[in-house]
Amino acid sequence: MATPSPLARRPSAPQPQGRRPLAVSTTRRPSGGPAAVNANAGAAAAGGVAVMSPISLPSPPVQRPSPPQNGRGTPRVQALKNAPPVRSPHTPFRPPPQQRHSLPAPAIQVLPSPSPPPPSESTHTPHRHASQTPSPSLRPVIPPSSLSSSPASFWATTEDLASDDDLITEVDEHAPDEEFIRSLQGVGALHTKQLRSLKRLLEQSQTGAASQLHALQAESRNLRLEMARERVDRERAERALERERVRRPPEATLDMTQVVRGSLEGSIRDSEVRGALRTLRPAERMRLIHIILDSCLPGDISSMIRLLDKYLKSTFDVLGNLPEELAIQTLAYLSVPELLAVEPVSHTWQGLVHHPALWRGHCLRLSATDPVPLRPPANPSGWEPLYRGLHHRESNWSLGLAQSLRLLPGHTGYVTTLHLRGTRLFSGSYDETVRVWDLTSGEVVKELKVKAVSCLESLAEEEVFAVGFHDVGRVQIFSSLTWSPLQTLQGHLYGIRALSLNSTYLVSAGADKALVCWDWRAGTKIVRFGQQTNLNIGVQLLGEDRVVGVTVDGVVRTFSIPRREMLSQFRLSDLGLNLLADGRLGGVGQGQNTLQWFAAKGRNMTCATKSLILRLEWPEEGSDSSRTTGLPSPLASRHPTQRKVSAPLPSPGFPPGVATPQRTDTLRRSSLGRVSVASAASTPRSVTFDVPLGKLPRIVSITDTPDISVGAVDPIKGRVVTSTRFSTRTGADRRIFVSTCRATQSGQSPHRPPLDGEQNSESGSSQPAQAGNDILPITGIWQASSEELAMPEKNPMSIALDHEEMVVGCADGTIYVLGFVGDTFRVGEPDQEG
Amino acid sequence: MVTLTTSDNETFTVDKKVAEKSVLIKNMLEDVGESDQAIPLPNVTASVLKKVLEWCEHHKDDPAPPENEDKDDTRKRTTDISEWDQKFIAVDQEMLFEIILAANYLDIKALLDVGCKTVANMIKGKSPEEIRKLFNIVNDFTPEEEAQIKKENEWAEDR
Repeated sequence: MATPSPLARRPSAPQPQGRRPLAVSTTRRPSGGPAAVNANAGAAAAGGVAVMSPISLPSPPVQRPSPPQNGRGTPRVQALKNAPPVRSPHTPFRPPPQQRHSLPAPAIQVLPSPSPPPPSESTHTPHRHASQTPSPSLRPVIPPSSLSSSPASFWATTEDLASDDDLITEVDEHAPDEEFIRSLQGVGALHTKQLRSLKRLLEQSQTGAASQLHALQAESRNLRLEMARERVDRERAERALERERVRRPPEATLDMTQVVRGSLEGSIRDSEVRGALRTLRPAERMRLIHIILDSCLPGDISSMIRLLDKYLKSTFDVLGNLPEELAIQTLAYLSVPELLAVEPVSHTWQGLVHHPALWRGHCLRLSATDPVPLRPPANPSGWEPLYRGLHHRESNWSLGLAQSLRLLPGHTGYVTTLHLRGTRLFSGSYDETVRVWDLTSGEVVKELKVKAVSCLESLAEEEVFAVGFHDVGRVQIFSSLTWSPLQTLQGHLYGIRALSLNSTYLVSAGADKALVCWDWRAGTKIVRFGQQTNLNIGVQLLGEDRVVGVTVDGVVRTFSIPRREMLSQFRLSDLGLNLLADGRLGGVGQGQNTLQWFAAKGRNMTCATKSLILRLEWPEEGSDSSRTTGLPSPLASRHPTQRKVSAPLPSPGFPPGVATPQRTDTLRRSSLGRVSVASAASTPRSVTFDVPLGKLPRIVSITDTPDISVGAVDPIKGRVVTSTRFSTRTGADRRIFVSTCRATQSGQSPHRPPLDGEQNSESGSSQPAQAGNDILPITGIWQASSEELAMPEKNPMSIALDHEEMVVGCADGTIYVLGFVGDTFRVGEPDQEG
Repeated sequence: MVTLTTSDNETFTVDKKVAEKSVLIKNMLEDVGESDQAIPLPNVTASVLKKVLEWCEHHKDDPAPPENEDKDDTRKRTTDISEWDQKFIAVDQEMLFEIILAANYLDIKALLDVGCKTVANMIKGKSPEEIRKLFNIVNDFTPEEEAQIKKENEWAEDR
């Protein structure tokens, strides 16, 4: 079996042509006959079952070898042939089998392979064999190839003897058969050619159809687009029509007639008439009115005129029709937000709103408490922008938004004291110098070599300043014009803690707990008050010749210099009965609550513990000319209560300690005029009053604060600036706060007019003073520069402030100025810079 | 007694004290001296003068306002109006307008204040649209212009 199959295979594999069978037939002949017969017999039997029976019948008795062989032969061929038909069931005609006809030859050689064919396959075979002539020729190949196959074929032949005749005849026709095959092949070729052409035709038609389809689709798309476009056009046209209809509603006129007809019937529906009228265009409305008027009776017209008159009177632009002056006078009653809110009413109103006279008024009102008179703008239109600037300045203060920062480096030790006077800044430091700065240029005007400075006070109208020293009990007085020392007041045992001066007296509080009053011009000691059992935190000259001293334990004492005696003393905690105090004053001065800092100006006094800021105001009595404030406006010059004008000092020729005639003259005048506010600095007005120190001061406000250590006060504006201690502890609270005192009893504190917004709420209010203070951390540029400023070495040692800026003196000798003019930094944008 | 003649030729005879609430009349009387001649008031109609004199009559005993405070720009502005004045001034807009003009002409400062305050109170806290309705004013701003104005005025509101 092994030998023949290769042989058979060899020729077959390379050329499976139709010619092949010839060669095969020769070998086939001897033993092939019966096999072919067998096959043919099966074919003749025709019908799957019939074929099956011959094979299956012998198989039980005979054994496997032969019948399977036989069976195998056919089925194998079948199997192979079967595939094609299965593969191309679409082509139902014969041609395919014929084409394949050449293939069977090689396929048959493979037959001997031992794989047992499933009997079911054989069922299909018969038809094929019937039609296939070549199959018999193939058959003979098998018998010679295998020894075992011969008996099998024998068995098969014997079984199929009945059909032998048929077989023979067929065999005889063998020769013509080959020709037939050839012709068949020709036919097959023809068929395939035809088939191919048909296929090509089909393909052509198919592609043709496809392209046609494409064309159709494109066309339909175009059509659809066109349709959509048309629809849009139509819609647009419809809409335009509709609009036209709305604009010029033919129905409206119809409605009118209907409405009028309705009115003739006695029932006019107002809303209908109104609605119909509203739809008319102005010109048409006028025409209609004309028609109506035309058709009126004379009596109707006069009554109508009266009616129209009434309408005209009941509502018309009262303000816009007033003479400008009166309109302005009216609008002056509005606050700035209210004023701006009415701007969009009409162009007339807009013009009124921006009238300079209004803004001038607002400017003057807002700057009424400025220490320097407002400089009027070059032309009236400048008032409004000026107001805007003032508005921002005020709101920056109340919101703690610092706008500008300037560093003034120079000192090398603690900056212990700062005194701000207009554009001039006095600073004293432990580095044993006093520096005088010009804040407009930021330059040092003068540097004085002294001892370690603890406190400093300047008196603008006398052009002098007094310096108290930290470790020596001395106070020195300098001229701020010549910078020469005028007096040295020596009398304290240890250093000086605080001092206060007016044009007559100087009071110093020493570390020796004593208060000493001096005639600073003469350099003589007047009186020494030694009642204090504790350190003085501050001292203040009140009025002309009274002194208030406050000790760290919260005891306030008042003295009279001329009488050389104490007038009163009380503990701050005794003021706790005040409703405002709310029990918070209980511990003031004791334990942790020792006073931290103190500031006073005029009747106002501020003292603070770590957690409370207490603002006190001495009651005023007697003549109250403080209310007639000096106006920064042109009117100011006519003001009768203008304060005295201090005679400028003859700069060089003032020998220390000796008063020149001119000076004594000044002195006398000032003392006669009972006019003086201690450290009134550059305030353009002065307040005249007798401070009744026998009375207790009124608590203006109590503010709860975080842990604060230093602070400063602008009593006129009611502002307090405080700072925490910038400790080296990580996470320490290093902030500066501003608090604006909003508590003013109407009439009692003429110094601070309310900001625009609050004036109404305050008007006519007789509420008691309220501690409506909000204490806010300084933000704006301070926050933006906090990496530099919120440092332990920048611990604020001293603070000063005026209406535009605050100055902070630091532990490392740096001084910085925070300006509050501008609107660069706004709420909610703390990071914004530039 | 003083006799006043209005523009529509009506005459009013009032107490001198009442008439002198008007600085104009007061000055005239001082200039002319006592006389029986009627003082002509060509800018005031009878109906308005009647109203003004009603006010003067009621306020005749009020103390004279302090002289120097009239132009004080820094004083607190309040729009409070006394109860009687409020009732007095509750008139239609035409009359209000005329009263203001008459008070200005006659130089009755307190009455002028009442009139101006009343108008200010009418305006206060109203939206531009409400004001336009109230005074029958035509809005001659475009919405864009109006928005622009609002934007420009933000600075006064933000804080």
